[in-house]
Amino acid sequence: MNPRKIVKISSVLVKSQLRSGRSGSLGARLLSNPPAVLVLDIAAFALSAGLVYAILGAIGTLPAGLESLLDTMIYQVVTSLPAFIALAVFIAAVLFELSVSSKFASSDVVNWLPVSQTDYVTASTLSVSYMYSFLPALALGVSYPLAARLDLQSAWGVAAVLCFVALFAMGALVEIMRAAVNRVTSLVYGRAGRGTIVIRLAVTVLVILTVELGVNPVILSSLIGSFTGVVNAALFVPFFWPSASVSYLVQGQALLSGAFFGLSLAFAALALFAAVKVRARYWSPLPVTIEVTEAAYTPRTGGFLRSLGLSVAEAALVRKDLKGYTRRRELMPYLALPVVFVALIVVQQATTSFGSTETGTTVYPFWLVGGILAVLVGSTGVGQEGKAILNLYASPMSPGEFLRAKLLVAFLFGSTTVVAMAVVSSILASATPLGFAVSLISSLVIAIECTFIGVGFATRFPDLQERPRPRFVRPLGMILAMLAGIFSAFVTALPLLIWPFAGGYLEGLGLSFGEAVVGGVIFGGVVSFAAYRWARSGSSELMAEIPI
Amino acid sequence: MNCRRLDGLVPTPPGPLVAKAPPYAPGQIRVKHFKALRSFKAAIDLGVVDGAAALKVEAISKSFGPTRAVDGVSLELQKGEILGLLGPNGSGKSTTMKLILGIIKPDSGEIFVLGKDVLRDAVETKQIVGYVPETPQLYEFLSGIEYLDFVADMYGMSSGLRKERITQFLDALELTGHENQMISGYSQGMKQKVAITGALMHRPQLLILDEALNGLDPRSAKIVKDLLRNLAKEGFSVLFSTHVLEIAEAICDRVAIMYQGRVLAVGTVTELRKKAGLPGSSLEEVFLKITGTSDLRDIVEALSK
Repeated sequence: MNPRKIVKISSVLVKSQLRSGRSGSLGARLLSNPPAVLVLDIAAFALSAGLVYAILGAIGTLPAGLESLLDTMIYQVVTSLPAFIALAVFIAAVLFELSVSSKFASSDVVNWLPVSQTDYVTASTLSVSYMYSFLPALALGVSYPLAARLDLQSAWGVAAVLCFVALFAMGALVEIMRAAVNRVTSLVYGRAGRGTIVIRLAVTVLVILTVELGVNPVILSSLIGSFTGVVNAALFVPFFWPSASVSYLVQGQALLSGAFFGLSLAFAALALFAAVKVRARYWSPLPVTIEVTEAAYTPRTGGFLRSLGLSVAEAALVRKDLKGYTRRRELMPYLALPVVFVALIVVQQATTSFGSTETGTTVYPFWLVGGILAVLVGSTGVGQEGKAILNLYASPMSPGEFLRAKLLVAFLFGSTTVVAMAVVSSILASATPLGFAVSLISSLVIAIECTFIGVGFATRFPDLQERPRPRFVRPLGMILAMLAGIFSAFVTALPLLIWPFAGGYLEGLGLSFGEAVVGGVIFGGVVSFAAYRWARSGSSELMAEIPI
Repeated sequence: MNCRRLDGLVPTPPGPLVAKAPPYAPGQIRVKHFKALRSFKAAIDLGVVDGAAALKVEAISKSFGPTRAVDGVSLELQKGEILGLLGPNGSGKSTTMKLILGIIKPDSGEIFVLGKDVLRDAVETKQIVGYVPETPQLYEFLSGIEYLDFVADMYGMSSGLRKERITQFLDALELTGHENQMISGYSQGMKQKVAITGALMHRPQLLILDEALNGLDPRSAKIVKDLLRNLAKEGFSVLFSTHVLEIAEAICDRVAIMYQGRVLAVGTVTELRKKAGLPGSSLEEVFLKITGTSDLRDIVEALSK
């Protein structure tokens, strides 16, 4: 190991992440250097600690029952802190990594500089830990005053140390994940046929699924518990070892605490060792060359999309976009999301009961998920073009054609997901035919309105810059699109949401369930119409002049 | 070498390209007509005004913030003519080309392609224009053939025509055998060949080529140059920017020299030599003289130390 090289590389990697996608605003400039992260960490710690101190001071002395409840809560917060930090950082870092374009993966300068795998992986792990240090800083700031209230400062100190150990371990796991994704990306290097695309997609989706489901605490505990049959099944999961150490320390079991402390350190070291080995073996420094098909060229101008009434150009754009989802690493998570959601429903069903769902109340969150996917795909649809959008500007494609193609792609995702959700959840909840029909209609309306909202924001806030981690839509646009989508989906589904609780009262007012549902659907229709008009004008403005 | 019309042919701009007069005046094409016009043949007939210049640029200007990228540029390109746009980096060549293509709006001025107003009839104009950008911007997750098929769809080319043209180009540019690979695995030169094919295969009336020969191997560059000459002979027009003065000298009928957003001189190389007061000199010397950057000795000496 060469510590100087490690520090230097870490610094460059942190700068790379800090500066990717930031504009030239004052805030962006202030945050463009690594020390800014440390300043933010200190500020987050101080502010959160100060705030919690103030709240506790304002609360003063509580009644005995509440005091006991608060103490239990504080105990849980302090002991679960390292596990919470580990999971939060891992999920955030993995999601970040999955959105990195494979186009840039092979152009890392490190590929041709004299840097060893160990140096690079250690540096990269440190940079991930440093970038996410804000989370433990904030959590430790919140938890310190709480720990002090119960005289648990020593336990808090151990938790703080273990938070950073967990942070480092997660950084190393992210490295393993990165190498695994690279391995998958190059799995079919140089091979031919459409089957290779399918294999590549399937394996990538599998990796994403494993990560998404693998770090889900409910699933982890239930899986481990199912074969151990012991109460503290979580103790078999390395994620929970730092928390176990803190927990045993608070209980006065120093030996066990020390053992789990040691295990946590060992896990971090093992993760780093494995990351170095995996990366050395699977790092793919070459751009992927894939033979898409071996078949002779046969022009296709008809097909299913044309039968839907799309023009040749619109159908071509839709086909191109759909191919992107199956071939671009940074877009593959969009395909994985519906599968993840369905899997979560099934797992959730295995542990909890749906209860009465004739009106679809408990399946509502799943429609929301489908709507969110429509917003997500819609709002990123324009930005996905990247600089190649020049092709569309240079070609005789009208803004209307562009808009219709983008709408169809987002609607395909949104509608497929919400329909799948409605079907699966209705089956799991044994919904009546009426409940299922209402679910389906509401789902489709939500998919339509969310699609229009998403594409509307895509045309107004596109981010066409090609970076290691492309954003596709400017952050403000994404936030507003999400808020608008969730709000409109919520209002559309409101009758279904409130009927089980307020149905009797509303019927007393002369409002039937059917009328309420129709009201929600009409609201969705109005939103869809307004969003479509807005998207249309946005598309005209966008296509009038290239924004890059 | 003089800038010349190739093989001494076509001494004057060719006559009207359209076999029949368009059924409507330029700018009056309604949307419902547009879909019917999505074919190669129709593209040629598309609202082209008989006798109009292939390209007429009138005093266009464009600023990006405080930077005036294009400053009152006027150009005219006749049918069957190849006009070379020369200028140092940052002189406004690429911006001028994007303005002509209609993908950037000028702050002032007007642009007409075959009599059609680029700003008013953007979509219809693009149907008769082909463009190769300075850096090929392709969809890298598509194969070469998929990309060309996509472009053909955009121009509404018929199945038979696109197959014929794509096959011709792939063979000529030695891309056959690579056409089913994803573009992400292509070399820079291969990407450039795909971009050139995409711009040429629908036989645009006006070709806008921004450093199009960059990265091409000598054989492919020669093919493209000869192709441009042949297209010009058939009455197609080419606006061509390059840093390689020998190329400009070899294939251009006229040359426009740009510097700091302005056109400093337009004419044949002979005319430019005369204007620069450098008879018998190379285009490089003429270029350096006109742009006022001829005294480079100090710079070279400093760099050599």
